[in-house]
Amino acid sequence: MKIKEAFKEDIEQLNYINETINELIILSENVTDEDAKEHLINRVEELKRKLEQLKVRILATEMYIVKNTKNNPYVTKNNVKLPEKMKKKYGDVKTYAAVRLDQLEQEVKKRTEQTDTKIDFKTIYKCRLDQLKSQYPDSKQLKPRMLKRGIEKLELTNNKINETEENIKSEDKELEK
Amino acid sequence: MEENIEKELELIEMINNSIEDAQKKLEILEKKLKGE
Repeated sequence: MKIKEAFKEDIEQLNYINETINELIILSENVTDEDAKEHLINRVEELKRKLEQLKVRILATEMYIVKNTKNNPYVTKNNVKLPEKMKKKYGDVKTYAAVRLDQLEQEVKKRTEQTDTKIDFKTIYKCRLDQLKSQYPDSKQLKPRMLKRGIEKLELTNNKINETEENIKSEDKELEK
Repeated sequence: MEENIEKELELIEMINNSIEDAQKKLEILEKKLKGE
């Protein structure tokens, strides 16, 4: 099934994380040694980072799909059905595209404001588009203009992250003095 | 691509829910390990 294949890596990663969490839960039940505890805490932090990376990848994918949905006359005119749960939440596909795009943009904004996380949205987004392009080689939706717009926006996001990081470095240097 | 949107969104929602569950589990585990 093509769709599952496109998300294969994400699902495998998620399964790996979930299995590791379960192992850590079992290990944590009998841990008393402080070093061992510290080691488990480090593993938890590593998994949290991996989950965040996964979340960002999914965010980039959903943004692509939602933008595509919003700008796709076929979808809006023919009122493509939403999954049942989402139908209850958003009503129809037009409302979904409008509301969700706004939510996703807020999430991206929130992440760019997180000063301790460097997120390479541009690379993730490009990688996702390449993946989806190979999945739908005849798709008329994957127009260069749309790709360009998406990438330009992500470049802005990246610049903001770099700028924030530079500011923090300068502030750190000032504090060290 | 159009007919696949429903399935893609369903899958994304499932993955997002699983990520949230995993994040909650990690938060609880971290608190427990740190003795909070």
